[in-house]
Amino acid sequence: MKNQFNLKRFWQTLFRELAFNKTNILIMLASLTFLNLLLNYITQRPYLSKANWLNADISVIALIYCMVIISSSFAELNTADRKIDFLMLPSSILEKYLVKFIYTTVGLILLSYVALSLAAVIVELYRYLFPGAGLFKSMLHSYSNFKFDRYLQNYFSLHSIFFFGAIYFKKLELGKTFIAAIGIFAALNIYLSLISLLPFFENVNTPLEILNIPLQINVNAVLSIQSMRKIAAVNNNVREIVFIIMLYVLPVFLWALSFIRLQENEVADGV
Amino acid sequence: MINISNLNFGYKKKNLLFNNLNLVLTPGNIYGLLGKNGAGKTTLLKLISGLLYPQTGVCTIDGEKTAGRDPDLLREIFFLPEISFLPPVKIKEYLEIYSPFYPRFDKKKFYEYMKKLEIKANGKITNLSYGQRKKFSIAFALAAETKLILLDEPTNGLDIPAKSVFRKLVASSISEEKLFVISTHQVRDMKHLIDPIIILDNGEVIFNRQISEIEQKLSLTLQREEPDKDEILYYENTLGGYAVLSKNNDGEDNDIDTELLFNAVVDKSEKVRALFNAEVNI
Repeated sequence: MKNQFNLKRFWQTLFRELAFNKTNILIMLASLTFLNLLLNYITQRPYLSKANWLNADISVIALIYCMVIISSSFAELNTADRKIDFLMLPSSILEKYLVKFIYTTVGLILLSYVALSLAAVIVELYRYLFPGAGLFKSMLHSYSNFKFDRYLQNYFSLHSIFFFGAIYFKKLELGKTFIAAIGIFAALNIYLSLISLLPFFENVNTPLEILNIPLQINVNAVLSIQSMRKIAAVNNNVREIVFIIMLYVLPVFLWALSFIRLQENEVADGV
Repeated sequence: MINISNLNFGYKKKNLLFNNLNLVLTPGNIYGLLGKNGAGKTTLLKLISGLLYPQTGVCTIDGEKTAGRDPDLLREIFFLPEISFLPPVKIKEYLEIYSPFYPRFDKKKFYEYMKKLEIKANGKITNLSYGQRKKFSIAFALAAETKLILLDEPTNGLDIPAKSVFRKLVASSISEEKLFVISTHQVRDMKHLIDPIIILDNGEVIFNRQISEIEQKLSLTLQREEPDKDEILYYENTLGGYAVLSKNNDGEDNDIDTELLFNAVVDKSEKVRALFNAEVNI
């Protein structure tokens, strides 16, 4: 692990990343600003004003958009010529990893914030120049109410998943990560729900094994209201645990796993 | 110095391409790496550069394992693949991005090479044709001034004048500290440039000799009549006769056709080896 980090090399690698992506950054900024304006315009339409799903927090757009970008952040590992360029670059794998990490966290968060600000400025300018036109509603309210801490929490959780997917999958990274994540969380949910139910079954009749947990369930067992309340309480606890895992444990775990996977990529056959 | 010792490598674990490969490459030389398709030329370059890891055995550069991929070692290696990736930026931007990674990068030389290869240095890389991109990459590789330069089919896509310029540039770039390994099928493009010649066949180094030694021990003659197979090493039909490769009995240096030598080594491997080994023993 010697010579893994050198600040000068790190800046050079970061400069390379930004220089390669400068056009993409401008395109992202323009399209994200446009998406913010579009959502504002759509939700302003009278016939859509009651469609609650459209009144989602504006940060959701930025979040989805950023996940799409993150999914392709290691695209250069998926073609032979680009992979050689990436691997032969005289910087360590840790520096390369950190550059990608910073670009997809600090970089993209800043970018979404700038895009949101830009959309807000455009809307306010429009409303000032054409008062009463009613095309857009003011974004100042949502802008000032923007819960940055919550956005960051969600961002980092999702980032870790899609960042890992970007390194792990070689094709259709976004779709595969999405499907894998949904599958894993569904399985986890079922697993945890079953565990939370375990203490409340008293009459043991039917042996059953689900996900390697030996369950003894009496299918005819009648649960009392008290038991159901207990189940609800335990379920809430389980949800809280899952929530904590999702927000704090999972990102760190997946980021570490991503780094290990990136190191493994160096050894891949058929560069 | 590159030292490959007891190296085993295969893209599939049970199907080894290199089996117990041993090779020493010393600085101050331009090695020509020749071989048929699938002989393992590019794989060997990737193993030397650290892009591939040996299953067993080691490949070291000045005593340091290439598989370690230390950034300081990577700064001393320039690997130019047959098709190299060039980002959609201006040439000057490319220099700003990549040249700081190579401590001895010489911008003056780069522009000089670009001029000699007739490439304008003020455009976008994406506007360059395939051949021009190749020229640009060669200019950059040479200007990087790394100790080890690995070139995979560097003359593919170059026009005829550029091939000549390429030979001159490489010849003028070599120094006591530098080592070039050029993998190629275009042996005629490398005439009077590559020395020693390494020939790979089925993952094995079947020939590794200096040009002076080859010219001393082999003789090339052109004759009208078909030669007696027992008295020669190898022959080929040419326009109006036969190109014959035989043992150089009078010991005088003569100009050997590398293509003929390659065919002789691959076709009559044992005969050529026996000749060289016998001569060495003397």
